[in-house]
Amino acid sequence: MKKQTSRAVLVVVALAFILPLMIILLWSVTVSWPFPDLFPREFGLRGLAQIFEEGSRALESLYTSVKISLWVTILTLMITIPGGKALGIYDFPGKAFIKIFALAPLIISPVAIGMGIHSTFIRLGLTNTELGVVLIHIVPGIPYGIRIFTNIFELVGNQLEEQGKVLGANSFQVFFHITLPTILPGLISAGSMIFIISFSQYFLTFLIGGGSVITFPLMMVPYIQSGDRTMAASYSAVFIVVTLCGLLAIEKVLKLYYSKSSGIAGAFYTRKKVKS
Amino acid sequence: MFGVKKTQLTPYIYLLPVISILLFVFTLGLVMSIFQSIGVHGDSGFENLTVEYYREVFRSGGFRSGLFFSLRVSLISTGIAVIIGVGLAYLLVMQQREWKILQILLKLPIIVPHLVAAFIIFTLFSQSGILARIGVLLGLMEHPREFPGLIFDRQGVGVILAYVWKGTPFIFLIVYQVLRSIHGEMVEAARNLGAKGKDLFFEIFLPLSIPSVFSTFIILFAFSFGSYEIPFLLGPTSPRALPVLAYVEYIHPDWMNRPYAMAMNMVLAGISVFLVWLYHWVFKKFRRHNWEGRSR
Amino acid sequence: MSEILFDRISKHYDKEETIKNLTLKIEDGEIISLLGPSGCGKTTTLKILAGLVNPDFGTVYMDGINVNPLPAEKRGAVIVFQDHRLFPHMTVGGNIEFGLRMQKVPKRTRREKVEEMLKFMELEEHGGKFPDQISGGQKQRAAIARSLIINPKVLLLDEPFSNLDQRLKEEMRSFIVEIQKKLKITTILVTHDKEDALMTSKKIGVMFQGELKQYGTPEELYEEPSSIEVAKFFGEVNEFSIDHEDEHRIHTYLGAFNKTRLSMKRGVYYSKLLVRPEAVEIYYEEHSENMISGLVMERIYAGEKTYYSILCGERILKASVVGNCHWNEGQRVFLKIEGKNTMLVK
Repeated sequence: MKKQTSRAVLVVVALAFILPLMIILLWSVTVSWPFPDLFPREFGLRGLAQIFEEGSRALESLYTSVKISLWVTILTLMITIPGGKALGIYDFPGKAFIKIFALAPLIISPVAIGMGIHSTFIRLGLTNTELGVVLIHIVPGIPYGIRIFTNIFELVGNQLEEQGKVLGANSFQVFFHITLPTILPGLISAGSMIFIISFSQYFLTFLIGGGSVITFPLMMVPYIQSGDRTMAASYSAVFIVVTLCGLLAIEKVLKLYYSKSSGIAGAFYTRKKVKS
Repeated sequence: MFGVKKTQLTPYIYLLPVISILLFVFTLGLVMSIFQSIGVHGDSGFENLTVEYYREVFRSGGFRSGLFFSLRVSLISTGIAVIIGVGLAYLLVMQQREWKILQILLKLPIIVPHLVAAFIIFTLFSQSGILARIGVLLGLMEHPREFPGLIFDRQGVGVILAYVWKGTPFIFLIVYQVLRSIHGEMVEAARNLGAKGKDLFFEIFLPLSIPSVFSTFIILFAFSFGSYEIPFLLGPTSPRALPVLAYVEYIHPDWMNRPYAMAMNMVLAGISVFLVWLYHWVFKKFRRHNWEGRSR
Repeated sequence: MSEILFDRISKHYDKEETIKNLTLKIEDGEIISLLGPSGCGKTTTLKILAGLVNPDFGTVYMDGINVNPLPAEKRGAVIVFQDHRLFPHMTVGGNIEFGLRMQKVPKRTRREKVEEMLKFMELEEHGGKFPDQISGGQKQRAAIARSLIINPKVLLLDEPFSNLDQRLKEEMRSFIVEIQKKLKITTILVTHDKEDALMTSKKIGVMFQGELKQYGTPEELYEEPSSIEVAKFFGEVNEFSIDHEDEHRIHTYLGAFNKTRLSMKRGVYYSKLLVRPEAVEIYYEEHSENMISGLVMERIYAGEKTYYSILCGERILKASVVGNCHWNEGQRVFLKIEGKNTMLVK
């Protein structure tokens, strides 16, 4: 009896968090849903059609968004993997301070940082450019990357890398054939997190991008503000689907890379396993 | 080369890229904010050092009510998110099965951006939203305006709801991982030594999970306290949440208003940093207390 | 202090270890070992006794009372886990005190008992430290102290030496034997290391894949193993198939052996004859009948013993001799195996 109650509570609360998303998806394919009705009166693809129209600004902004977020993900991973390795494996003076420093962007508001760096970016010509937006997007992703990779390197250590070196691999070979595959789970979760953070960024993009770099969230806000629910819901739906695809792609690409890096025997083994 | 062993330099070399970015964007941004808030300008340098901007900011009623609004909204939303999130995690840990599907579904709100969260709350809770429609169906009301104005309201209910919707799954996922690791080994050991029911919760689960509950609390609090999107979309025009207020000052046509924006930003950052410090302090105390209280 | 009886216990998991029809009786105040490779069901056996896992079938009796319905906290069977599982948020003293607090023992008594236990376990200086501030051996002692303080009826030790280095391991072994003697507490020790079992226990149960293969004294296990597996677990053996037997002798292709062992039971069909390397005697000449001629293939000197591989016909025989011996590789020798030094298995 008691078990059933707790199970029921779990299901109800979880539904309370999931159902709103379903309602949004419903709105995105709705043309008419007037006030007291609990279900849409007329379905249609007005919103989605407008987004996917040939050469629409929405599609263009989606392309910009994906491009920026992928760059941010790659660059942030590139800097946080070695950083996390240093913090996870080595002991050195200043380690405790750097650990806190790298997590600070979690605590100190991006609004403060964005406004502070704005004038400098103007002077350097980084505002209104995609490069500037990429740079500012990297900051909020750093704590997640550093945290995940530090934990993972603490766990795996560098014994495998040493073994690789002893077996005659050079530094690059060790990194691509041993380090990356062993930290793969962390790579996937950090990559996903960084991608999400960048992809859903609004304030920093419009502050630094200054109206020249139009990302998907920037296109979406006017519709939310004006209360055009069909359009806002369509944007939201596209947003969620693209995010999911992005995450899936990150995972697939990394896993594919993994099976390749395990060499011919490894590829053979994976293929065999898939078949059976 | 200089008597420094290569291995001692290695970690610093590894950290160089990430630290450079942090220094160039994050630290520089922070320092520039601080400088501008105390009257340091590019042309005049350190000549006009002043705390006047802070004083004036604190004197303004708009800032004080905005600060209060931000604090209240963040505290309440984070508090609710923690209670629901921890509760869910505890219930799930106590189940026999893992319920992977539930975990995956609850991850969805994490990947949804805050903008969409704001829109979701809008469709649910606005005066012509889904809840109002259910109200009509149940015969509780007839007109949209009879539904309480939860969006754009002075109490910030809409903002709170949006943060709760986004924050709860975050707390749930982290705390669930922690509770699960406790559940297997530590609970077995404690039961073996004669603990049961209430004791298990208060002696094992609670103290072991509290550090991670607190740290996620702080991350979530700092986030909602310092972010712009949700109060911008769902918040009232008065009082305005601190980040929104700071941005309004920032884009004021008279650029002499910028130092005020920076001063507000610094108050914002200062409070978050203070919280982190408080967290560490509390845990040091907590540990010390345990030492003296339990052993001799 | 308690007498334990596992009566036809079975436990099945989806993937993990299983226990098949385990029956085992442990006398009051005895120390025994369950020995076997990892995943053979030893730890699950302990958890079943402790009430942390319910058996699918069978009954556990303590002092003749069925304890199946009793929850873990009322069993009085305490496990010291392999990874010690000290609570990280409590001091060593707090950990030791835990069980007493759960029993709502008054604070003063608790403090006295903890002090006493700290002294008994030579942990006086560490009561105020946290588990991550003490050494591996100290953690192990703290975990044992934490279990002993609640006066358990049975003490269950799950691989208590596996995380310790050789020296500490030896220290802990004699330490455990010593406490057990002092407190006369029924103790079950689970291990994968035959030395742990041989050096601590009066009786040993050997488990493979969830089955108790043999239960007996170290001598019985070593000298009269019930199967090749058990024999091999305690050391190397040479095995010979039995061709046929007559009234007095057993015939293998290496010769005939006198039936002098008591271990031969009537009506049991034995298929193999086993010889431990140290039972193989090596001589220069064939001075009695039934000796086997062989060629020394390999000689390894290992200090207290010298190990030989000797080619006899088409088979390699392993032999070991105490001390340094001078038969060299390539030399022809004659081997003698006394019938009483052989073992028979089904």
